[in-house]
Amino acid sequence: MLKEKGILFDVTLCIGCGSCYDACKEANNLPKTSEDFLKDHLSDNTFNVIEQYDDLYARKMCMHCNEPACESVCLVGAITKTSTGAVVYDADKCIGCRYCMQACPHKIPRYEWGTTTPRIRKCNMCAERVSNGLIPACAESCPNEATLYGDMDQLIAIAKRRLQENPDKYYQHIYGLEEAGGGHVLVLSPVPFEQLGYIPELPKESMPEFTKRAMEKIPSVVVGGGIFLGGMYWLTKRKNQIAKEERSKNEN
Amino acid sequence: MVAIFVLTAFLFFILVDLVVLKFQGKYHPAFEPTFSQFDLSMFEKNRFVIPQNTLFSKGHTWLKEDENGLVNIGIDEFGMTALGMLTISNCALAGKTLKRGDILFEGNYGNNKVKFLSPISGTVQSVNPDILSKNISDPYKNWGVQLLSKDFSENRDKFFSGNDAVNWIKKEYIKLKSFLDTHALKPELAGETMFDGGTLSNDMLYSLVDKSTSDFEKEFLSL
Amino acid sequence: MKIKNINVSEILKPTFWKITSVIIVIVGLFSTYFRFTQGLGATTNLQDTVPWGLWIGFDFIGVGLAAAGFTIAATVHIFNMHKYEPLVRPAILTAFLGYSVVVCLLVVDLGRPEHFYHPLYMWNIHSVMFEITWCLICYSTVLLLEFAPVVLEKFNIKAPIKILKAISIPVVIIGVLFSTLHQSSFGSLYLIVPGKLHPLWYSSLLPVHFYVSCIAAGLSMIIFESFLIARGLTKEEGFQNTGLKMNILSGAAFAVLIALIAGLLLKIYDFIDSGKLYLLTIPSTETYLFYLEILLGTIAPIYLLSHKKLRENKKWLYITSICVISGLILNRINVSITGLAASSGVSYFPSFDEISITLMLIVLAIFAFRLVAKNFAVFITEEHEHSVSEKDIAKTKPITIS
Ligand code: SF4
Ligand code: SF4
Ligand code: SF4
Repeated sequence: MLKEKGILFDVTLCIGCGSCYDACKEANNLPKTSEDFLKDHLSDNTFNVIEQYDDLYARKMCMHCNEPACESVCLVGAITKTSTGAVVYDADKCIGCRYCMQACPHKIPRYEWGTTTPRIRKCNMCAERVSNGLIPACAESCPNEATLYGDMDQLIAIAKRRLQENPDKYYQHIYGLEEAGGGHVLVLSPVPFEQLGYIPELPKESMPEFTKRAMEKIPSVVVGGGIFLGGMYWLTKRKNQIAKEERSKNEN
Repeated sequence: MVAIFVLTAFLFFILVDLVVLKFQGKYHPAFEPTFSQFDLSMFEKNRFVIPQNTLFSKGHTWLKEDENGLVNIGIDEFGMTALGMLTISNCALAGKTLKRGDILFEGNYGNNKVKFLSPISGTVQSVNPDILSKNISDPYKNWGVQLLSKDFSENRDKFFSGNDAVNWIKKEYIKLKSFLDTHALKPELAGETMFDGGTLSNDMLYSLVDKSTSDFEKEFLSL
Repeated sequence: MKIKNINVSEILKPTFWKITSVIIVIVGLFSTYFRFTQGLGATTNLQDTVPWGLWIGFDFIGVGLAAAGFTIAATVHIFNMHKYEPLVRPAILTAFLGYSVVVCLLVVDLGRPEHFYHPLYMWNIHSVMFEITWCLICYSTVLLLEFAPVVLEKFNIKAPIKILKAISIPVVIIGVLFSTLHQSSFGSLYLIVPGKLHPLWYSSLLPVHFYVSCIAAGLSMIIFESFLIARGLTKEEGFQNTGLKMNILSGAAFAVLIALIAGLLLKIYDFIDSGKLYLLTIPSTETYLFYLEILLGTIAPIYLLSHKKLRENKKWLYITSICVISGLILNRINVSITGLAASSGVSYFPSFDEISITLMLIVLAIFAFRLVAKNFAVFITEEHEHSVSEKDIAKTKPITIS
């Protein structure tokens, strides 16, 4: 089995050059969507954006959650997690219910609204490139190593080391490590993450947990309900019968 | 916003429907004026005032023997109001000898003509002229005919009195309700005033679907 | 069985609602055509931040209002309260047509409607949506089984009726279980979006809220529908037993009252338990809509229904049922649209095509109801089930289309 891979993005190193933006477009054969890449937003033709906050730049893309909400809600299993940790999508299965868009805590998946055979669109951690032995285009193109691709355990170690070695430079938190159960994209930043448009206050447990708690009760509801209803049927029928018998007795 | 929109759309259709009905001069079943006696409160016993010493026949006439041995016969409250206010148009003439089951009164609720049958046999001694073509407010004060009867006492057990009468009348009202439901009636106004001071008066008529009058006689006025 | 000559002049006789319906259906058909040829983006106001709109919201409403199908069936067949027998068939028919509307809307809403059959063999048992889909399929089958005797009766096919009668109790029980599951699961759909759904509505008890409210609203729908039937069909040829059966309806209204009180208590408990009371004092669109939902859909009907007099009064019963239904409409749309608006950051309003397709499906469902009611013995009296009455025209009449 392949080792779990991930991406580490360090805001302090990002110079906002847009190389990853262009590389992602090229790797995924996506058309140009905006004159100024800094003003672009995620869409069916943009899986990766760079947003400017004063002199800081933040990348937004799919976080490749450990227990992806999008994967857990997809009723036909069109979204799956590969052994490397990438969350990928199979358009041939998808029926287009868009529950994955609704469920994603990071509001990532986009939809091809303009066509009659629409697909869900999002970063797939360049699954094809990776299976061909390459690394994701965005990581490869980054001139300043702001985006790193590698084994998850190594990335976590690097992130922790950076926080430790430069406590003044970094806001002491690895975004994406625990958010919504954690994922395969980690972000480091000098300022609190909500200032960079990352969604704050996500629960630490994975999103599917919330549904699981309710879904777990189903078997007991079915069994309990079945017994209750059967019992009720028997009871009330018996009661009616007794009442009837009594009535006929009284009449005689 | 969407919530308000969907809600308004729902209510809008209901309102339009009411307006449409108004234009057609019809009533929505929820706002259909009803006879006051159809309010469920009428099933409470104390609302029935049944005069003493009075017997009730299944054909919705009442009988009462007076001190001279004559039997006064009139139409009971149910018969007076079942399909709207009854006006009595005809009545057996004085001197006539009737058999039980002969026609005693003829009346109509609007256009619906109905016949009331004589509960006993006997000779008509006198007729109350006040009952013809008039609105009768107290049905038990206004007798219609006086009979000299031969078989009144034999037939006594065929009539209801006291508690039995009350129970029977209650059942008749319940029966009437389902009768009206199944005979697809449209309420109509007899006069202009339907609402007097918010309460519905009895001046309303039900026009029946074909043949319902004979059904009504069969169900309610046969002995 | 021969088809009766279609009385063309009778069908063509224009009435207000006939004309309106025809217009709605024609416009709706055009919208449907555009929807399938132009795609979702061109015909709806859905977008990446608002993936679910009016159609999904309306599915919630439709399923909630169709809940009478299982509550009434359970009351009569499981709890053996045969007084409510006359409501069973209309309720089952309503449920079936309601679900048909919901399924059609879902298919229209799917981005790849041609893949609609995928859930049949591509399974992801962790998905609430998967559970709902299967419950819908199974429950529709149950509804068909429950309604089948009515159809078979008409064509005088006796043998299967016997089998259906024999398995009727298990079928009803299974129906109740499936209903319980998917009614509550519509709430579970939103359990996964704690950060997005407004806390006024988000709660770990969401499935229970949905379940309780659908019981009250489903019964109210049956009451409301009885009025509709009495209003629309009573004076028409070919229908009988369409009159209001007030004693039954006020009994059902009492059940509504209980369900509403249970729902209210549950809400109160939920708010106190999760410390959300402070939200009620924050002025915002959400708060106002929440108040409207509770006042109109719960408090007002509870007040009205708790008076025996009003419960037995036609006018007030009608008004109350409208209130409860309005409450459900508000609640479902609030959960599916209002509550998510703030987190999506854009304001969504359904497009013309979304509205017209929805209206068209409702009109078609009403028409289908009429058609079935006219040709099969849907409205029966209490004794019917036990002694088949001779008078039943609907059963022996030839099929009519009008
Ligand atoms: S970020 Fe969203 S789309 Fe990406 S894996 Fe997580 S849940 Fe799925
Ligand atoms: S839109 Fe497609 S991928 Fe997303 S949940 Fe629905 S079926 Fe799955
Ligand atoms: S991993 Fe690939 S698809 Fe994802 S943002 Fe980077 S280049 Fe784009």
